[in-house]
Amino acid sequence: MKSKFPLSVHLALTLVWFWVAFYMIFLYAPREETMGEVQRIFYIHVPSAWTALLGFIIVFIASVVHLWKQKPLADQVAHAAAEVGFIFCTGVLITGPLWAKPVWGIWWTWDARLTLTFMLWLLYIAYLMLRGYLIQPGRAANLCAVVGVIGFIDVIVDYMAIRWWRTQHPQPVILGGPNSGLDPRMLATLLVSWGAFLCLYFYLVRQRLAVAQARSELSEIRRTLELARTER
Amino acid sequence: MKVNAYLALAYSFLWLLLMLYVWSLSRRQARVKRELEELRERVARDSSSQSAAS
Repeated sequence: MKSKFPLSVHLALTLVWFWVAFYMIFLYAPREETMGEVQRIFYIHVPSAWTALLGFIIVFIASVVHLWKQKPLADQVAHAAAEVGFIFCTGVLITGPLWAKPVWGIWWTWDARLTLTFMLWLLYIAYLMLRGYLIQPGRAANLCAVVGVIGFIDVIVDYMAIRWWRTQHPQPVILGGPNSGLDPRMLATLLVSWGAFLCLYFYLVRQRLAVAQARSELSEIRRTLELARTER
Repeated sequence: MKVNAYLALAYSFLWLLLMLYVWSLSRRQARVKRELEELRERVARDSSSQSAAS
């Protein structure tokens, strides 16, 4: 099936968007007074985190659709969204400590936000390992869908953690209350960067989905061939 | 370690991670393509041996 938005165009758009984002991160956004240049990690750390959370929201929606309608496409979408989301969640856990060390003086602390993000990463691993270990495809899809639905609780608590509890992790800078906020140029840079991350996320999900669909078509052809051979 | 080194490391590690994933995806795509080719050859072989037998 031909898409109205070809993958090559999607890739080109992603690359251009990243080029603009990098220009804004290093040349347009002002230098933060307290942290200095290292604060520019913010423009990849926060978009990675938001994209990873969005990944699990997509897993949740696709899992609910799969459990309700038993549609293989919903299961394939959930699997692709989880795999790519895992990559972005790993990115959060790499860039976070590299930002924390020069600013807090420590690589890691077990506060609510950091612990819940680590739990989200473990949930992604559990989800993907379950897929690998279960041999019956239908059973694996149903069990993973249950993990995808339960895992969504972590997404909500993780998002709310810095609002509910006092944490080492900074309070939200967007929609965080009267004392929160960002310089308009920093906000514009953050949003453009997140746009680039989203574009990349959906490009990778589409590629991963294409592999899954090609694989399922291959299995279907194999089954048909075997059937034809036994009938002969 | 200098403060700017953390910035460079964060960007480098993230891009390395993404590049590794893209590489793993392209390997999987190539494997599916190869399997499809093998299947096509098998089908062609089967149909030619069937027509020779009839």
